[in-house]
Amino acid sequence: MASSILFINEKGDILIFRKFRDDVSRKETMNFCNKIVATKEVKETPMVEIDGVTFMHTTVNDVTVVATTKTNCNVTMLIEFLYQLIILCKAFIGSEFNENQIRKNFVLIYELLDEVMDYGLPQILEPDVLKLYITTGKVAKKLDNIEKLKQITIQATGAIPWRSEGIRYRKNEIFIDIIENLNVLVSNKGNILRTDVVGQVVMKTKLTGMPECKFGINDKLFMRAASGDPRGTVSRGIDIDDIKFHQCVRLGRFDRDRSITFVPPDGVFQLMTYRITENINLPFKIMPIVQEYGKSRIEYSVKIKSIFDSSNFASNIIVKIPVPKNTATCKVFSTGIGKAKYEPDQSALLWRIKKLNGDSDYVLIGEVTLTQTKSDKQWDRPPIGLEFQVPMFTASGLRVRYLKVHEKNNYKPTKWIRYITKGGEYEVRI
Amino acid sequence: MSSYMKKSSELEELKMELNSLKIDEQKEAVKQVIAMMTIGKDVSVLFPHVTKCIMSPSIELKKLVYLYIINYAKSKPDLALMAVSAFTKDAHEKSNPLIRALADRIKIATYLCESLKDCLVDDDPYVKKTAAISVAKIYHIMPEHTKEFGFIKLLQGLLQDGNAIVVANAVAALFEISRVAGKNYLKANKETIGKLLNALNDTNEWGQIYILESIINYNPKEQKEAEEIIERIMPRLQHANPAVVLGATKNVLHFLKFVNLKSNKDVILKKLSAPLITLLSAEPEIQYIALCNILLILQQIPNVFEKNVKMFFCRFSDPIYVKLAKLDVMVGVADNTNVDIIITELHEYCNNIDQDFVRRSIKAIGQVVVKVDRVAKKGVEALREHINQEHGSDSALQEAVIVASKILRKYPKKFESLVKDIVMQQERIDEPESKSAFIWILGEYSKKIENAGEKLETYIESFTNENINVCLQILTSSVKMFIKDSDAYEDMVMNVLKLASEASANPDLRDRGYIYWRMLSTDPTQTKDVVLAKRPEVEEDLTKLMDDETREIFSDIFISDTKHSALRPERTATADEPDSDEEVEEEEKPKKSKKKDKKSKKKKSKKEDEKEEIILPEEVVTEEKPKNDLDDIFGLGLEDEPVTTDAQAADPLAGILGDTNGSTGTDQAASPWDDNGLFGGFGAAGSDASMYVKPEHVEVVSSSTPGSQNKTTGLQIKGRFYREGTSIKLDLIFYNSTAGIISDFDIMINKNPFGLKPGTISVIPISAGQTFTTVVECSIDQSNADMKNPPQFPYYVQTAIKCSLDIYYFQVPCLLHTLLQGTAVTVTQAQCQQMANSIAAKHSFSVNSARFAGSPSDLKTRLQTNSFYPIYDEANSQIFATSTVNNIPILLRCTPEGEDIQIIVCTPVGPLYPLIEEAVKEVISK
Repeated sequence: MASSILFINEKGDILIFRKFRDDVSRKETMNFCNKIVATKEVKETPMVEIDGVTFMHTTVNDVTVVATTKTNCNVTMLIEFLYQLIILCKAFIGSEFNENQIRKNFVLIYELLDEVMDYGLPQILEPDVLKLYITTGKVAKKLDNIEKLKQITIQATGAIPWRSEGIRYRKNEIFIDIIENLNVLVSNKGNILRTDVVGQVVMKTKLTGMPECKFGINDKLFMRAASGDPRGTVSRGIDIDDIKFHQCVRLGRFDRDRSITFVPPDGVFQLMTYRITENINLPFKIMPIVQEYGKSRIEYSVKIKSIFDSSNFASNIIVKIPVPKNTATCKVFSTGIGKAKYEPDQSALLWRIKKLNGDSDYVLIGEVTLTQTKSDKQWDRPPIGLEFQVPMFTASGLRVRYLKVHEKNNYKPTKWIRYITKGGEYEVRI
Repeated sequence: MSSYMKKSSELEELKMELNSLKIDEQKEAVKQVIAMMTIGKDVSVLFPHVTKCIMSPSIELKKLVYLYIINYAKSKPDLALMAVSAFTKDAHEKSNPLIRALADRIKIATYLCESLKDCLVDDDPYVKKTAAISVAKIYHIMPEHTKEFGFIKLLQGLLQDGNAIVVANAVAALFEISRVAGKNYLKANKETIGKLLNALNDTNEWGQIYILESIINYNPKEQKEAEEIIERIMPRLQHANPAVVLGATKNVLHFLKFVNLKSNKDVILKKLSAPLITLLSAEPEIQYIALCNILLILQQIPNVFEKNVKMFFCRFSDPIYVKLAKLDVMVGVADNTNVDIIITELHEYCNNIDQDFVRRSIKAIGQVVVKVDRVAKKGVEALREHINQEHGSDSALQEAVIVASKILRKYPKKFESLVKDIVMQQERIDEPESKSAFIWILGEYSKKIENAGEKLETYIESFTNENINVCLQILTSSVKMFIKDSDAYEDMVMNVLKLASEASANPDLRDRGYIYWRMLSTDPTQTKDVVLAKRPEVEEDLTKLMDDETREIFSDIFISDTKHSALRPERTATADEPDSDEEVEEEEKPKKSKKKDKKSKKKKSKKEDEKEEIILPEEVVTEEKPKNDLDDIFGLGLEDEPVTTDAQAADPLAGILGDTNGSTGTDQAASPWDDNGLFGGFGAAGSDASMYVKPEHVEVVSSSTPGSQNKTTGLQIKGRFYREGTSIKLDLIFYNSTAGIISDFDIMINKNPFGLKPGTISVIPISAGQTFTTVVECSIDQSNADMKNPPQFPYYVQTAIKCSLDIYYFQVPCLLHTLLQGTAVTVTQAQCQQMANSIAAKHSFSVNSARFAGSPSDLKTRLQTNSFYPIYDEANSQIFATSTVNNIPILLRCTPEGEDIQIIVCTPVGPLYPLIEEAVKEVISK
């Protein structure tokens, strides 16, 4: 397992160095700082081996977080540990994760590292639990009451470490957000190569006590199972390729009858993520014509068509139309809606539309002139990108059917549900 | 000086603060101490002052002190022990579990484990889970102790604990101990496995990973049990933590081995793909790991992902390592049902701007085409488009040519039109590998190509400068062309055979040259059968690993990191194997046993990732060692036939044959090796690098040496010269003892008798207190040679380092054997004698070396590794020859006399004598 955990800045200086085992020396670790981080070769692969030491790393902003080992260990676990560690640090620092903040809060991070890992084995990374007994930082609490301390350790090691006893709210509420990211890849001939939806169900709970929740969605398999007819004459419901749950969800139960039951953490958490590839409703269609005239001029005609119900609307649409690096001028003749602007640092023409009603279409017509360059290289025509948000619309057709809450106080919480579909990796090749 | 003052006063100040009575002040001071610790400063002098703070009632301060102690516990155990008593008191403080756990950890670090027993049976789960891990720590330090105290028993007992996290940590600890001990302490049976699977539901994500990792070693007795286990693990595939998902996948695949019913198996396998594919929407690092694992699974179960092909399409924004891994997977999943969209997609990638990616895409097209016949046409069209692209990149073209040669081999008659397109681009083909491929095509299609001979001639002209693989290919192709049309190419083949066997120092090339020569001169018709024999079919070479190898890696699936990274270059290496290698196989076809050897060699080279060049000669050595005379070596490949040297009058090769005999004679004398076997020297140079005597680093600039310009001190430099293969290297270690950063390094070497000239030096800025090691490759350049002054003894190389601090002039000692030719010299016995006679002033000395008294051959290898090449034996003396990098010949006669070795040296340049003596003594006695 991990021999040490390091935080390194862009120059290769060590910000945090916590050793868990003795097999990797500081000198060996410096190899990575000098050879990889400082020389910017970091992008090669997430695992790098130098002289028998394997470095697993990920970079956020200007900080590279690294785990080292000499044994044949579980990479996936350590990489995931690094991600969670970063999230944890963010939660404790209460702001962005960058060199400055780490320098300011290094004692806190050392203390965190000491709790989250023991002898190179990840232990407890639940921010809510750790907040109970980490003594430094903004969220620190006074740890004087021995009884309380005992309770903390029991919770930390219990079957439900994510929720503490005795939570009270005057008004019990649950907010549910269904956020779908739509990934689309369209070939330059207009064929849809792949579409998939990666959705997440984010909850914010303000519930008293230890509530037992049951969450129902229009999952085809569940509805069949529930209707007592496994062959399924019920045609409603959608096919879900895969679901991943927060650790509070009882996986055994889900495997048995596909019902989603759990005791939720307090506050905001991601209940589940899911992936769907079948029967996806695309909210837009992009039809680009990009014509190159020699090496000096390119003509663009990009049409965007919204193909959802006309009573609905999409907001914050950005069509990112790539232009070559050696663009001299960029003229837009007409857009019909929104504004288009050439952004040299992104090598793209950005067409921003605040609001677009369903069932409508607009065309951007523009022209780019190019400066002469020496290189023979052709323009590699990167894909057109699309960002958007469509509220009250799910590309997959997923719907929440119910959320039942049982608690011994027998209250009825207020429930709020929001749906939104966003553009994820939306690429239209040209 | 000033920085030191500052440092010490800083420490003084901290000391004061640590001894303060105010808790806040103490806290701040400890924080500062820890900050200094992080940047690598030694703050151990403050130990007693810091540990004093442990008496404080503040938990926060206690934790900080703990952080400090844990860092120094290993290096200063005696000091840490002092602090422990305070913690021991805490440990008995039944009230506070957090502090008990802290105390427990610190004691382990200082080897105090008496109270660990108490902790293992503590009633608080937090203390127990910490204690469980501590057992693994102790085991690492003193395994005997751990057993003595019965810790392992206690740990095994914890597997029955009611708290799932305690169980998980006990599992993790036992797993770790088993790994270190090489013995399984996690004796799993049906009952414990059941317990562990129960705990799986209640522990946190990390605990689940530990449990999943540990049960993989369990082999269920019957199918039903395996199915039950699978059923209980399957739900984990839905977990949000990718390590849990992969751990579960690994287990399912393991327990599936015990399920015989195919229908049950298929149902389960079907459920595996979706969770893995979902990981491709995770962070790029996880995507990469998932792809590596998918590749591994594909080796065992080829048809799990074929329906998900589109999920492996590259996104524009993917990092390059994800894109490359996706290419591999796409080749892996290609089959009859999905191959069309794969080829279309791969073709699309060929327009990308990243040349590496384009090359790999082209290669992938080739691999898919070789794998699935149906798309051959489509793939070839894509390839043709790329080859004909006027403004396409040259780098991509190289790959296209290599791929084309493979396709032509797989589908011999089908795509001959491709040949014409390739020939058109001849001028742009400039990498060794693509050249080899092109030359192979020339040889193969010589009748279809106009002026094929002329085209090959252009490469023959530069034969001596070409890469070895290109040379081998030129040789093979010219022989092929000659066999097909003996009139047109007789001169050419003669020329090439001569070049290969006489002008080349490479044993592989020479050997193959001899083989062809001998074959052609012995029996041309049979040669034709051998050379133009039907070749074994090309297979898609990407994903095929050796079976046992896959199995081995497979058992480590999802865990292995080092193995994964080893896997990648290995695969490219196989794919990149030059065609010439395949050719060798063809030629040796008549000898079945040989082929087997080849195969085992291939396996070995894959497994150990060793360099081909090293293995090849070794293998030949084992085959040829018993035979000392050259005739037998020539017989290689034709053992069954009598080796005749008689020319057949009717043979068009009569002329050639005569030459062969002639050259055989001269070559015997020229051959610098005798009883070591033809390749002994080569093998030794390659594999016995350890015998090369590397000098120690010498401090050439101390941190108090002032620079020449500003008289600044603070840079320490250590250096040494050594040789690696044929290149001379200057190894420098810099230590920055100033407070600032030193950067902008440059290096110069003063004019010297050998013309040694440094390459570029690459040193990243060195910050205060850091050490940096770099190796400068040196070349021999006559422009930097000082012809007037002969080298002095002892020999130093005057070197200068310029950096942001100052300029430093210094002298690096250099032993003469570093400055000798890295490759064997070719001199004949006669030449040696002539030289020895012509030089009157010889130099003699003796070296005491009991080590080599009995074994002259050891001495020989040793000297040879250090660039003194054995020429011949004379009575009981051995003659060695070498020359310096600036071509001054040196002869050495070694005569053992009891425990001494009497050595006589002879060289035309007198001042070299003391240098040679020094080097030889160093080499023999070190």
